[in-house]
Amino acid sequence: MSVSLKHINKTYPNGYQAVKDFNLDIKDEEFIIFVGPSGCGKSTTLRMVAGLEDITGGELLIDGKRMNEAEPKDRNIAMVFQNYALYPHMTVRKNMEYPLKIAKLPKEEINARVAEASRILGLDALLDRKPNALSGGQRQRVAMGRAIVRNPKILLMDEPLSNLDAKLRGQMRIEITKLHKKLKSTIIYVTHDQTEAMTLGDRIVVMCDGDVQQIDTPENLYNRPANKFVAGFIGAPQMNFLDMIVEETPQGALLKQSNSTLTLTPVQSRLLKDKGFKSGDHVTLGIRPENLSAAIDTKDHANCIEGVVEVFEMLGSSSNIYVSVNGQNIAAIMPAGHFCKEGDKVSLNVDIDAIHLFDPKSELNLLNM
Amino acid sequence: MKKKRKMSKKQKTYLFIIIPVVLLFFMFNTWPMLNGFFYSFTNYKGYGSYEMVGFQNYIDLFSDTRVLKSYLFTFKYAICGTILVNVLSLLMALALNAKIRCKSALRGIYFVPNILGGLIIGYIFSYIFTYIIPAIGQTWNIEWLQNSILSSPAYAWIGVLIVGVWQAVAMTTIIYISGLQTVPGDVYEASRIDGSSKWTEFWKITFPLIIPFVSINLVLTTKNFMMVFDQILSLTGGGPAQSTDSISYLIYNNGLDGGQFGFQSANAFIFFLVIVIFSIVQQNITSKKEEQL
Repeated sequence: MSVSLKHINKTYPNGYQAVKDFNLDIKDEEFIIFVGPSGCGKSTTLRMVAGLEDITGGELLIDGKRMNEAEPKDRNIAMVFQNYALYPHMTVRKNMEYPLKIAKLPKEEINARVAEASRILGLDALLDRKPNALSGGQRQRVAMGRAIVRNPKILLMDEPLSNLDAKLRGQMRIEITKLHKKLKSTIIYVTHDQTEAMTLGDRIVVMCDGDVQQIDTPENLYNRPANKFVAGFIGAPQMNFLDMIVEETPQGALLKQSNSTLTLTPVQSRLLKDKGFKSGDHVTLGIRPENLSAAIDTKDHANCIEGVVEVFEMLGSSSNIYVSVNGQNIAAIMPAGHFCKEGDKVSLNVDIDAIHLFDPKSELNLLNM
Repeated sequence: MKKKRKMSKKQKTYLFIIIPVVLLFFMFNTWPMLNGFFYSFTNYKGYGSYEMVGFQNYIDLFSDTRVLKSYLFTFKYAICGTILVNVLSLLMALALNAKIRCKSALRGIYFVPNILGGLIIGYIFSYIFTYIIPAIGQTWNIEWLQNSILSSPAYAWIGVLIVGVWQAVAMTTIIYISGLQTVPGDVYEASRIDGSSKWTEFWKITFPLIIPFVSINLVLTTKNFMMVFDQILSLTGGGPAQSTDSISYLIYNNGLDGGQFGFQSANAFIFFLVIVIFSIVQQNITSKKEEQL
């Protein structure tokens, strides 16, 4: 089932605009992620799709039909809530049976669907327990079970893994991916965790303050962020940002900051020039921690950033180092076996092909063609 | 040698608070109750001398038509009152818990009857039933309103019931509102998405989740209605023709004014047992349905 959100707005009675001109076409069977920091409007948008919030402006179409005024039960959707919202007085079986009983399905079909869902989610041994006798992970699976027994065409998930510990979250991410392949439903999934967003979604909608920042595939979001917010939000540790000054030379543009100089590629130089940047202008350099490498012993300091190590974190397979560069802090990921200590001078080699440049005013990515 | 344990300052403070309360409770509650239990085995009139009569008072209770009639009235009044109060309170609580304007102000207004004393309310309603309603009946030429309901042996109990219910709804509603507020909002949202109508939602989700509050309210309202006294004293004085003689009123009236102190003490003890048994049975029935959220 396809879902279209056309110029959707949500303004609360107190005048607060939670969602501003949201436009999105979701294809049948697509797995869409809404991601963004708390209060960005992602859950509100999901709840408008569910019918739990009124739409102030715009149009919601499900399979081409306008659904703005339709009751939640008439939208052919199911939803998994952040706090699971299980019926505390019902057993796991009754929780899963509930929507089917309301739909007045025959007893045999109800039994068959509950059995199938509990098999898929591994709930067979828990069917006669009540929610308060279940762990967080088990409750989460019951909530999913209650949603999938209805064979919904659209499955909405509102931060379903946020109450689980890191290990369980990892397991459940895999389960959800498998479930999507099996159910072939359209899934809209809300999260503030960019790892969930990157691993689960076919496409990701990044939101901030009610505005859509970018709608794209995980790969494009990572490699070609539309603006500084997206670049900073996607990726952990997050992208480093450094204020640099442009210097034009016959060979191309240079980016300078105290004793660090980066030489841009001809394509980057041309794009910068095309966007009207000239010598003396400031740009924001964006570079991901994994695109920096330590060059402590090398004599060639071209395309290097000089700084002093402030924190060193050993992670096992790699290490994170946090470096102070002329008052600005940047992070770098080092391979295993690389050690340094607080106060060490370090020269970080920049992978110049992997850099991003942002307009300091509009914060748009200047290298996106 | 056993070492003497010294009482801590904290323990002394607790005792300092508890002992006076225990003494007061014993003096004004336990001691009179024990005294009453003792007098229930005597023919004490409330004055003069008395003799021990064994279980005679208890035997006589079951053959005294006025006592039996008062039990019948009290049970009828308590059952009708409990049902009415709980149904009305639940409806009011649902309305006052909904997304409506001036919710807090309305809750305050509906709670006012609980602040007023039973006697005051009784006298106000006595005036309404005796003067205002008959006047309305005469003005609009409605025959059945022209006489005070309190003067009818057949319907006086309904007048007393109206007043009792009006006063009791306030506190019961507050308890139901607090019950409704314990139901998480997302459970209702899940139920809406699952396709529940408002009716199904109430019976399948809301009601089972507020059963502990229903249980508390049933016990409290039954107990309060069984012990009806203020309304009877101020509205009917047990009349007309003893048709609204409640057990509490009978115990008070005949025990203190009618020279039946010993006999009514036996009545009071039986009544105490009835209320305890009623509460335990009711609690057991409802607690089976209680669920932890």
